[in-house]
This record gives sequence, C-alpha cells and structure tokens, in this order.
Amino acid sequence: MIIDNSTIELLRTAIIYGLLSCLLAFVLSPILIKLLYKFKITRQAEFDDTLLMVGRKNKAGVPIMGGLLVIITVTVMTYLFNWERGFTWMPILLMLFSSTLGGLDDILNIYGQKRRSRQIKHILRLIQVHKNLKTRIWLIITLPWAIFKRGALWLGSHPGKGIHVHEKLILQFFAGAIASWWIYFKLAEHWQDIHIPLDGFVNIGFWIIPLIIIFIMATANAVNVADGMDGLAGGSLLITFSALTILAWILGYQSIAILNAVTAGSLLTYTYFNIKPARFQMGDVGSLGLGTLLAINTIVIDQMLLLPFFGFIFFVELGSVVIQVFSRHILGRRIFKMAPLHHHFELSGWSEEKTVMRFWIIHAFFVFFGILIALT
Amino acid sequence: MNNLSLSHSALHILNSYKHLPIGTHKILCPYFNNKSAGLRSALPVLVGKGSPKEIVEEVEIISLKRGLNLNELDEKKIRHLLVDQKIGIDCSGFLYHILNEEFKAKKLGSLRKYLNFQGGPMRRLLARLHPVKNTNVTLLADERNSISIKMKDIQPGDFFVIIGSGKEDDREHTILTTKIDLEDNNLLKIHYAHSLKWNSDTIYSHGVRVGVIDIVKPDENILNQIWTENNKTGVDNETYIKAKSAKSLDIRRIRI
Repeated sequence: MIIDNSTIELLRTAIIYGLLSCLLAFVLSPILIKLLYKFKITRQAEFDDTLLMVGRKNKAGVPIMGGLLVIITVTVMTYLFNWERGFTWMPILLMLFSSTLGGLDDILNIYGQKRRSRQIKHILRLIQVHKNLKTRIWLIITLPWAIFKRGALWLGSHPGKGIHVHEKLILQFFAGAIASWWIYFKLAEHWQDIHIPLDGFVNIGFWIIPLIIIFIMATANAVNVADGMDGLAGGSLLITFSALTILAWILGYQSIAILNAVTAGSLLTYTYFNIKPARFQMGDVGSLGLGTLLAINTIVIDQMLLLPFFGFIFFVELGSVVIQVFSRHILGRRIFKMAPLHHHFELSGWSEEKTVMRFWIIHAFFVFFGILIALT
Repeated sequence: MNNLSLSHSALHILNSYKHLPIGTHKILCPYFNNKSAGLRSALPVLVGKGSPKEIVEEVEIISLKRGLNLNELDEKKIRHLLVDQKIGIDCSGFLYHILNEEFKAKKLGSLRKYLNFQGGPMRRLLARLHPVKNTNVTLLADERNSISIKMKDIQPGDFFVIIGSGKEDDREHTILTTKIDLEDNNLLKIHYAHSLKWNSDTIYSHGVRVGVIDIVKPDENILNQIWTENNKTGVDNETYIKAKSAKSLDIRRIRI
C-alpha cells in the first residue's frame, strides 16, 4: 500500500508540532515550577489523608497545578498554529473552562475558607420547628437542592475547602452543555451521528446532547481520580493522546491530529518532571482540563463510544471509587483496601513505580485495542 | 449440675473479641463508643460496631498505611494502636454480633429480622441496610423488640438492660448472658459478657469483659446476688455498682 505525500505531510506536520510543543513546555517548566513554589501552591497534608501513608509523606510540599504546563502549551500552540472554528475552538475553550474550574479548586484548597453545608436531618428538623413560616417554606422548596448537595458529598474526597463536589458537577454539566449546544445547534447535522464500532453511523438527534454531557463529565472526573500517583495520569494521557494522534491522522482529521500531537508533546515534558520523585503534580487544573479535552476529542473524530478504551485506566479508577462508595454506604463494608484502585495495590505491597508502570501497560493495551476497533 | 450456653459459633464470636488475632498476638478488643457524627460514610468498625473480622482488617489497613509491621509489635503496642486509632467495640455492637450469630445457629435467620428500627420510612430503610450501626440499648430495650424476663427464666442469649446509670443518669448499657448453670432446674449461676470501661481502667486497659452472677438468693432481685468480675465482687465490681445505681435494670429477650 502506498501512502500519498499529503498524508505523510500531515503526519510529519503533526510530529513537528508535537516536538515543538515538547520544547516549548521544557522552556516553560522552570518558570512554572518557580512560580508554584513562590506562591506555595503545594500539596497540603491538611486535606490529603493519603500523605499519612508511609512512602507518601515526601509528597507533602510538592507543587500542584503542574498541569498548567500542558494547558498553557497546548493553548498557545493551538492558538498560534491550529486555530480553527470548525475543529479546535470548541476543544480548547472547553479545556480552558474545565481547567479554570480545576485551578480554582486547587487554589481554594490552599487559600480558601472552610465551608460546610447543613445535614439533611438538621434541615428536616428546622422545617418542623423554625419559628418563621417563610423560612420553613424556603427550606422545603430548597430541600431537593440540599439533598443533591449532601448526596454529592459522598463522591468527594476532602470537602471543606475548595469547590464543593456539587458545584463541580454543575460546572462540568455546564461545560458539557456548552459543547453539546455547539455541536447540536451550530454544526452540521452529521455531527448528530455517532459511530457504532464495527457497524456504522447512527443519527441519534437530540440524544447527542445528554450523551456528550455524560461523557465529558465522566471523563473529566475519571482523569481527576486517577491523578494520585507520580506519572500515572501524565503517562496514561501521553499514551492516549499519542494513539489519538495516529487515529486522527488515519481518519483524516488534520486539525485534531495536530492538536493531539501538541498535547502529547507537552505531556512528554510534563511526565518527564512528574515521574517519581515528582517535581510537580498535575492538580485539578490539568486533570479536569485534559479529561475534558480527551472526551471532546473522541466526540469530534466520531469515536465517542470507544472512549472507555482510550481512557481505560481512568474509567477503571473512577469505577473503583464508585464501587467503594456504593459498598461503604449500602453494604457497610469496603471492597478495596482503599480507593481509587492504585491505592489498593499500593496497600497490597506494590511499589508506586510498579503500580504506575503496570497501569501504563494495561492502559496501552486497551488504547491500542480501541484503535483496532476504530479501524475495523 | 448442667448448663446451657450460647451456640459454638456465637461463643466463637465472643472469644474472637477477647482474642483478636493481630500480628503474632491475641489482643483483647478495647471498649470504644464512637459517635458517627463527623465521620463521613463511617464503616461500622469506625463507630465501635465492627465484627472481630472487621476490626482485624481495619487494623491491618491502618498498619499498612502507617508502615507498621504488626508482627514486630508487642501486645501492649498493638493495644495502644487500637485505642489510639479509636478501634473497639461498644456494648450494643458486641451484643448484636454475638446474638446475630446465635440466631443464625438456631436457624432463625439474621437478628435484624426481629428488630423494629425507629424513625421515618427512610430512616428505617437505612437502618435495615446497616442494622448494627443503628442498634443501641434503647432499641434493644424497646417493647416491640424484646420482652421482660424474670431472673429464674433467664436463658443464654437474654440480656441485661441498664438505663440511667452514670454520674448524670444518662448512660445506658447492656450485658449479654452467655451461659447458665442449673441444678435440678434451679438457677445456680449466670455467666455474662459485655464491653465496658470501668472508672478504674486505664486509658488502655478497658474492653470486653466476662463475669458471673452467683444466685445465692433465688427468690430475690438479681441485684441481691453475688456479681463477680475480674475477681472483684460487691462494691469493687463496677459493673455491679453500675447496675445497682441505675434507674432501671431489666432482663430482656428478643421477641421472635
């Protein structure tokens, strides 16, 4: 089979931009590290119980928000060389929206004030006994909201400071809603088609909206949950975006191939600094932003249903948290020694390096399996 | 003389609390009454309601997180670890797990089937999902859940309910009957077990305890018998003093 020159040229272009992105990130990294230390944007033992674990004590004081390196590099490179209304506006803008949310959370966790919400039983009691009728009526009207807020607490790891889980969910929903509005109302009708692997395209019309929202919310949180060990999220994302570069190239999505290559390039630099012992960690600014970018990426190249493969290890980690929370609340016992899953293996005797590298390998397997299905 | 006792499996649970297999030692389970407020999605073991197996697993997880080798710690250090990490069992949790096993041994099913939990529909549903966390002395003493028994009719599995003890008369406690000694159908001794902290206990010396009540005056009140625990009787036996000074002391049996 002979590949024509224009196709080779696209791949060459993507690789060049990827390497440029890597170099740009290397230039930016010492500046970022310095700024993070200067403003003490570092991991705090106050809200991170995992730092009490032996072998993780040295992570206290490590700068977080290292994901800014990737976010900034990808944004700058895309804006300068790959800014296209049809394909790259939406992914970058959504990535920035999610990153801002994550960044706010990172900063508020350090500098913010503790906030608490009332327990449901207190609210119910106030409804019964409060002297003011208007207040009681207001409490009844807002009771579903209060239940949602307290229910969302189950999913959070350290409530108190920072953006609360229910606020994050709402903002992520908003991000997904923007993406789905853009795709459904602003782009051509074929964007409402989804590709069923091994079959073909199916137009799902309006249902594309909730599907996009769910995928974006799930993926952003999945990457966020997996970012708990040096090199885990960074290395896994590097594998994913490298593979998506190849896939986008094969499927003919030029702008997306370049976007993915740029992301992979900056992730290469990020992972260089993030492997153990990490010089910085991703933080929510990176994990939420890149998770969103991953989700929207697969949507744009019509491979949304293969997202569980391209983000395999992230969804496994998210699944382990859901299972553990469900088990604790409903069954009253643990399934894993600790969730997310990487902590379970750590407590089972695996070293951090072994856990991360094995997770990379398993993730790579499923990513390439996803590529195989996409190309079949 | 003959005796009646709890089933082997129920006694096994009791012995497990007395001899928790942690590291290379057998450790007495401490008494601890944790409040669940402030503990998000608290597992039973974290609020003083864990089974022996759950307590041992929790200690293992704590040791993994802290990088401690339990096999290298002596008995004293392990006990300190349990107490410092607030791992222990309270009186109603202790009773629940043993009685639950007893019910299963008698093919009666789970104990929770026989308990009517308090509160609204949602509360009762949650209590059904987490029965041990929602079991307390008040619930056990509720007329819907148990009936009052005369001393002469006491059987293994019956329990004492002590209400209104302590300095401010606000304490509740429960003690489980594990065995009775009979002669010609006359009650001679009542063997009991419970989880309690005596005032004379140190911060690390409390926990599951066993005692015996010698029935010397069969026609009189249970408080007029001889209570012996830790080789202490009479006013030296704080369990007896607790029972004697309570507003009410009753012997009860779960309604079946």
